[in-house]
Amino acid sequence: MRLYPLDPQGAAEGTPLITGPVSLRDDSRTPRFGLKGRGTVSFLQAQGYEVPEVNRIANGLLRLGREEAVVLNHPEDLRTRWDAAAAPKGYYSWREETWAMMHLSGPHLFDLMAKICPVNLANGAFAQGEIAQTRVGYVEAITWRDDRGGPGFSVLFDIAATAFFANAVATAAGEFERETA
Amino acid sequence: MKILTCPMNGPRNINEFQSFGPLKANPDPETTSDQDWARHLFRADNTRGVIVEWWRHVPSNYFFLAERNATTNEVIRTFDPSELEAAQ
Amino acid sequence: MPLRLLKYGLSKDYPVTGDIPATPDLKPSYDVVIVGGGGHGLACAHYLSKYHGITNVAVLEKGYLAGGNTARNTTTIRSNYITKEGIAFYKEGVQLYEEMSEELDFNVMFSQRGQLTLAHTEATLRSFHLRAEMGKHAGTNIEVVDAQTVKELSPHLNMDEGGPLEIIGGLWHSDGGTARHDAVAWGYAAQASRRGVEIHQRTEVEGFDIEAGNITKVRTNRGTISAGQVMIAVGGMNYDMALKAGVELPIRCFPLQAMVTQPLKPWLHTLVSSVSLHTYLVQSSRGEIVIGGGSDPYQLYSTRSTLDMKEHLAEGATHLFPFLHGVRLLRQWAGITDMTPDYSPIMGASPLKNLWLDCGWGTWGFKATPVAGKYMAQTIANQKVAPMLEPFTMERFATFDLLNEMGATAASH
Repeated sequence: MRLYPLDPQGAAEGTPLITGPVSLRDDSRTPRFGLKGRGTVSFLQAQGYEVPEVNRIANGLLRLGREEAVVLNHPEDLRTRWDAAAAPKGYYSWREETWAMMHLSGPHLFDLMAKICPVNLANGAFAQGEIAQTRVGYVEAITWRDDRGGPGFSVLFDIAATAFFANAVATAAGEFERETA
Repeated sequence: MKILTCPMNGPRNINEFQSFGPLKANPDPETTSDQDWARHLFRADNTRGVIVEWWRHVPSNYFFLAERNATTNEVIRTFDPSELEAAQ
Repeated sequence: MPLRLLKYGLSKDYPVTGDIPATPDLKPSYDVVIVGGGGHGLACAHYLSKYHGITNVAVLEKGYLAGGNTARNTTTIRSNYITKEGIAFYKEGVQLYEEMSEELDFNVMFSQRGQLTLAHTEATLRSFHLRAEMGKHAGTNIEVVDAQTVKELSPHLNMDEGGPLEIIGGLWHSDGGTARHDAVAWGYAAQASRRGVEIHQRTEVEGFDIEAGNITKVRTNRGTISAGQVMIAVGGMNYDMALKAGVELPIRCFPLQAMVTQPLKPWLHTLVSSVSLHTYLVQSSRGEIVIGGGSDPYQLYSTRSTLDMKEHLAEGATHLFPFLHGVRLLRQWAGITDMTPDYSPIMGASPLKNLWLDCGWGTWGFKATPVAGKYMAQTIANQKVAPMLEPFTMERFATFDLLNEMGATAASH
């Protein structure tokens, strides 16, 4: 059983995830499979995945570079298929272990994103299906529009920054808490 | 803040990038003298004019090249390294 | 205290006569031509004229006296380096500062108040132990101190106990200090010109005539002169100047930015620097807090200031001393630093027989002004590199005998 930072006895155990004007949810357990390096795209295509342009997401596959991708859409048996495939097939990048994954939503979502991310993620400026590799909450991160009922953003970042990121979001959302109160 | 245009990610704040210094030629290990190897290691283009240099967009770990004027700090263009390979 | 200061204080004649004569016409020939009228060039001129009897010397300065990096540095004087060659050299530099006001009969306001470098991580503390042991071995005053001693040495410090930048110890270098940069340059210039050295301001070197591995002529915007020996000491312009003589230095130029606050009553009694925050602070004799440590992260020939570097310095300074947050900035500036690959200077011989280098001073030149001047003068007078300078030869980059001072030299160390 894998231990994630926010789990009991994890490195970020007890770090609160805010809810309210902005809600932060930890999705680090979401299965994902990452590859990078020569052969990545051809391997994924051979497995039947549609590989979109760089910095686009299609059917749960994030294309992060010419030869870099992360699969969120049913990656369960990809590892086995990748082990069995012949090179070049990219290098296994351990994204399920090295990256945290979180989701942001709430009535002040866009106000918050404008504060913590230098890329304009507003409606009309940043479309569904686009990926921004940038900084979110002072952390190097990958973010994309991920609506669940209402508007939302998913974020991937270095798992060691889990508590830092959660605190940065909480601090930045503080002013909206005060407005609401 | 200064904006640098990443060929892969578009215009971004300069603090999303890391400079890796001027592009250097690859010496031929068979024919290069010790003295030229030392020069290759320690000497870099320090002209006041346009330098071609390596940059990395940190969040995407993408390496690319920029032509930048080392006196005016004007970025003339940025491009993918494959362009360099194609020119060789 | 220099005697002249006392005489000046009791004198009814004011103002006193100028220390430095107006720029004369260029003579056709000089025994020594020093390119660069900053602290280093002027110190060399002083030592040549006072200790080696060489007075037919011209100092050529493109702009005005000491207006380059001598005016732009943040005047830290210290010897807490890590290589034995570096420590020996900078240690004598500190000693020469201790006696400089007497030597020059000019008050250079040397204030030996000690330098405190902060460790926020165990890794930094380990490097401090190494530096302290190397320093003690070489006879300098240096020790690793615990957090309690740090607090006693600088009571206003935010120790950030339990925070990400908790101060867990420090490197205390009681030899460290600061001096008035203009006074240092002016003192050397006054001494040298009193002995016959000519200081030519607004005199730009445009090129060199070279025959059989010797510089024969120096071409300037005010005419061409013959030179017996030539020294280059032009700070951020060293790469360009050496190239004019066909010498390619392993140097890259980066701007180094600094700033000062409005004057405050004296409260910061040591030099304080933080390795992790890339910030250092010192209170000047005018009460201003000098804040430095911000090298631009890419090559540039520019002395412009940028908001992001100023924010970075302000962030570091207000983290260490939170009460500074309401203090206003008075001035900001930058200098072009000539950085070498191993963070040590390049001194001594060049591929040309009569060209001598005093280059690669990056972010660490001011403290070496007297000692570089002393040994460069000895080198030029004897036409043989002084033993003290031998390790700093340009040739070390061909033989891989580097003097790695990266951890102890970067501006905030």
